[in-house]
Amino acid sequence: MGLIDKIKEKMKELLKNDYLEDKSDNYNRFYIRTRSNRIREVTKMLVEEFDGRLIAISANDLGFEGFDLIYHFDFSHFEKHLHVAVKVRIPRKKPIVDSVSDIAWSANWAERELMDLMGIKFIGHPDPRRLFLPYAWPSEEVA
Amino acid sequence: MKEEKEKKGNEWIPMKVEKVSAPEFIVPIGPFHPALLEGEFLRLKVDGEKILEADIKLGYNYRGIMKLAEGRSYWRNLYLFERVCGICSHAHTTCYTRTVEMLGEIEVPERAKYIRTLVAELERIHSHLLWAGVGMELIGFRTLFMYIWREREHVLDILEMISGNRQHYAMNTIGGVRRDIPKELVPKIREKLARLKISLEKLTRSIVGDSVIKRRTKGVGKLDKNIAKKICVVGPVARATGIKIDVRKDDPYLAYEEASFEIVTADDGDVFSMVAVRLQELFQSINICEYCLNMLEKTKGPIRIEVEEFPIKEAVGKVEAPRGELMYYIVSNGSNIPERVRVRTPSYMNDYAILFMLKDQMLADAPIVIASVDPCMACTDRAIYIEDIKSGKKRWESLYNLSKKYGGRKK
Repeated sequence: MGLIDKIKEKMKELLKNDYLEDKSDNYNRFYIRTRSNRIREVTKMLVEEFDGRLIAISANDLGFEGFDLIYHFDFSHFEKHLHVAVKVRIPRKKPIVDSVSDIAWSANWAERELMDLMGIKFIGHPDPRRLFLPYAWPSEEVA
Repeated sequence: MKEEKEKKGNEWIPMKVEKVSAPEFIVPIGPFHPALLEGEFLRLKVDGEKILEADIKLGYNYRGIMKLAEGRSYWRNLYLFERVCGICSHAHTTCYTRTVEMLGEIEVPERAKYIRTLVAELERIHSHLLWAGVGMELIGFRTLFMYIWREREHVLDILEMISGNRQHYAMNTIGGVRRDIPKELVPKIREKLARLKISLEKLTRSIVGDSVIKRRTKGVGKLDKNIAKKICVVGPVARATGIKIDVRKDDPYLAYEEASFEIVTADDGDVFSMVAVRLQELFQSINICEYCLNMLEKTKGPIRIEVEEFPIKEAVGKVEAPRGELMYYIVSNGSNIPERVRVRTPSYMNDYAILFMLKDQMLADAPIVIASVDPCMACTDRAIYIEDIKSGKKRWESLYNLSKKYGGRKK
């Protein structure tokens, strides 16, 4: 049983009905979709239990459907090429999601960048200042 | 009375400054970087000479390359991503082309693989030498800076021989490389590399063995291994703290699966181990270069294949740039324009480490500590544009001839 099977099994156990989609390609990359309110639990499991590295968060603007947030977890230091991307979708009118930067410190700047450029609000971020935009940039209050 | 007044006037009264407890004071550094002359703004909270806390502000160069990429075709993006960074331009296009090739599940021809790997390793040597020179200058070794950059010139000569350019090589294209390396060049490159190796051995001995450099860098800017793991530092910075990660081994691409090399690590995580790791990596890179040259002599065949379709898919590509792990994430929607491109550069992770490294350091050590992670602001902001004059197909050859004619180097 490879590492990815263990990860998948644990994730299914944790998420149950919220384990929405499971895709993979020939390069050992796995794309798993869940609901946005479960992202903290998933991150905690992947970072603390499996020692994964959260290397990036990227957002995909899907128009009226909302935003796709993709959390990239790297496991290639355990198994060659292994990369798990956890996707969550958040609505356009209320782009709010829980921050994970207290669990994985490397998410700190990634979340600040998304706050700047995409207008997504991360609840509970320890340092929600501007990163790329000037500090005085007017903020759009969401919700 | 008058005499008394005159006497008092001549008397020296010391200025009375009350003894105050040293208040916390904020020293701004930037937005011009003290070491690498790029835009970033550091604020250091100091108590006397000791740094208590550090804060960093980015975005002085932000041009929104990721957004630009969403409006250009895959082929035009190639020129855009070449210009993300001035130093590791080849790493960016290698990663971009690798990710796009993963979309279409394309395997590049063998010869193209070796050419890409060769240029990538040469670029790593030139980048590490550039950093070493700047770092040595920062701690006061101007002569070493000159010596190191003289050696770097050999690498730039090789790159100019191969591509016609010293910085933006424009070697990569989707499905292969744009230019072949002619057979006559291989012995010349090998000769230059051999010469470089000898002088690098001398330089490494004099840098690592020097007691003054040791005193100036050992124990300075220490990055704790646990913190390094938590903030996911990459590349030489991670390896200097003892974390054994290298994309070339973990997520092998191009010719790295066959080429034999080792991951160089150190334990201390201070500036000295970062210097040592980078210097040792140079020799591994030269070995890989030699392997690629051997294979280039043996292989024949095409250097690129035609790519026409980009199916609806997503792909994550990773490459070990000189500064560490570089990641591209591309979503395609079936057209010839990518839906989304996410660029995660190595400096984006490593710059965060500066804040932890600066804690409890002396203010005078701040420049070398900042420079020790090799911060590349252009990468992080994805911004710097270096203008290049467009030219025809034959340009590189004529430039090579020109440099041979007027460059003053006889072969």
